[in-house]
Amino acid sequence: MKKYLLFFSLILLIGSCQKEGSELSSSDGGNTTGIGGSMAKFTFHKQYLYVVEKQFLQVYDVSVASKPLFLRTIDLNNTAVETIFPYGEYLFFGTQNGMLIYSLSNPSIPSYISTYSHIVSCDPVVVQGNIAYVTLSTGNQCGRGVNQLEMIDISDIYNPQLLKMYNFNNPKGLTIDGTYLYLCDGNAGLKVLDVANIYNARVLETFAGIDAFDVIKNGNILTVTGKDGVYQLDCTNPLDLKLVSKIGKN
Amino acid sequence: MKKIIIAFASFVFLMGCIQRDDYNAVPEVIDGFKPVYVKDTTNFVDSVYLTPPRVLNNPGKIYLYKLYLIVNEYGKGAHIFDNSNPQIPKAIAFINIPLNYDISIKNNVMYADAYLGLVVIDISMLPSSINILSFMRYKTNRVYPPLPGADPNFNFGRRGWGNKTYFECIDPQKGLIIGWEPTTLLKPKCYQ
Repeated sequence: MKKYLLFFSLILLIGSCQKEGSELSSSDGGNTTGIGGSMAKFTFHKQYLYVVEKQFLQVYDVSVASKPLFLRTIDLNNTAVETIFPYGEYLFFGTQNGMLIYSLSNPSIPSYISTYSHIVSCDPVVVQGNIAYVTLSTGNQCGRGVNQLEMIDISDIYNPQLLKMYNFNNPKGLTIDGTYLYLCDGNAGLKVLDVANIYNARVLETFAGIDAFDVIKNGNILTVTGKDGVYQLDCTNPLDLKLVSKIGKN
Repeated sequence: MKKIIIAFASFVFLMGCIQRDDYNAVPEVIDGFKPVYVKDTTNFVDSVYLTPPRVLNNPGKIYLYKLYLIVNEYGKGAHIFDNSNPQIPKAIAFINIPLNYDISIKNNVMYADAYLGLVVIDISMLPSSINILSFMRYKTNRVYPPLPGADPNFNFGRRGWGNKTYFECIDPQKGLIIGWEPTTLLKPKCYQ
């Protein structure tokens, strides 16, 4: 048991060094928050909870956890919003028409900054540094035959610009940690990309056999949800993912 | 409320009826959706409760909190696993939440989407009990549940562009439709 404790504390330790936006934030004034995947429609920032419901963003003050206070609904003016991702003082939304960026300079009233439009598709966005990574995939109601990973320069937050796009099988949830990007590529499995040079991103490793939908990285464990269950993979060596366990579906 | 049901049912009926000529072309076995009904929504919170672990049928989104791994059962609630050792995640409980797809947890309080609102649950006593702190109706009105295949929360529904989505025909006698769940249909009569 001691071993496990040690192991877990190690994970926590590693996890707590993760960059902002990864949601594992134990240092937020003694608060403990969980980690969601890139497909999430809920997120926290400071004492606020943001919930995406259709084209609306709902803002709650949850400083008294047992008594959330509904503050407001913000119309995101988009047909359907798929995902929400907090990064720094911004909220990024993956929508059917592109990526929306909102400012959290006043977190109780997120305010619109800019839109990066792409052809109609769905799916999530994650951000690290000055780059937003967006996947577009077919196989849902917004499919237009495009399966791509897009890398978008957001150094000018008011004017996001496409830097590079790559074709994939059916890319969905994703997460990034340093120069490694972990991508759920539908029935082509979970892929590890080296994105040190975004103009020359390379697939380093593929963990096949999962119809992968979304992924969370916590320390050296990847938790991947797929069509037939939930997998945990050891990514200590991202070039050689190892199956730790699988929770199979019925 | 009845009016809405009838209006919705007729709407679906009109768009969903398959003409006799086409019916031969309907596959004998096909993936589709079936309606999820509730009798009454006023006591909605009563349908949020803790149960022993259940088997995973349609895994949805995932969430990590402390030692827990939480796996959404698509539209039905949250499987709670003790993941202190990721080599042997252990199912410890299930929280039944109708029409739930997403959760988020902070300081032992779980926020979960549900039919027409947000359920707030104290999970500090897991796995022995949970305590429902509040249920907040969304301010945005959702009159209809998303139609089959149109739920962007989940991409396993696989609806090819221009293809038909089949569903189990609606029976208004069964109550109000609060959503849809994936199922396998035998030569279904309704589609969109």
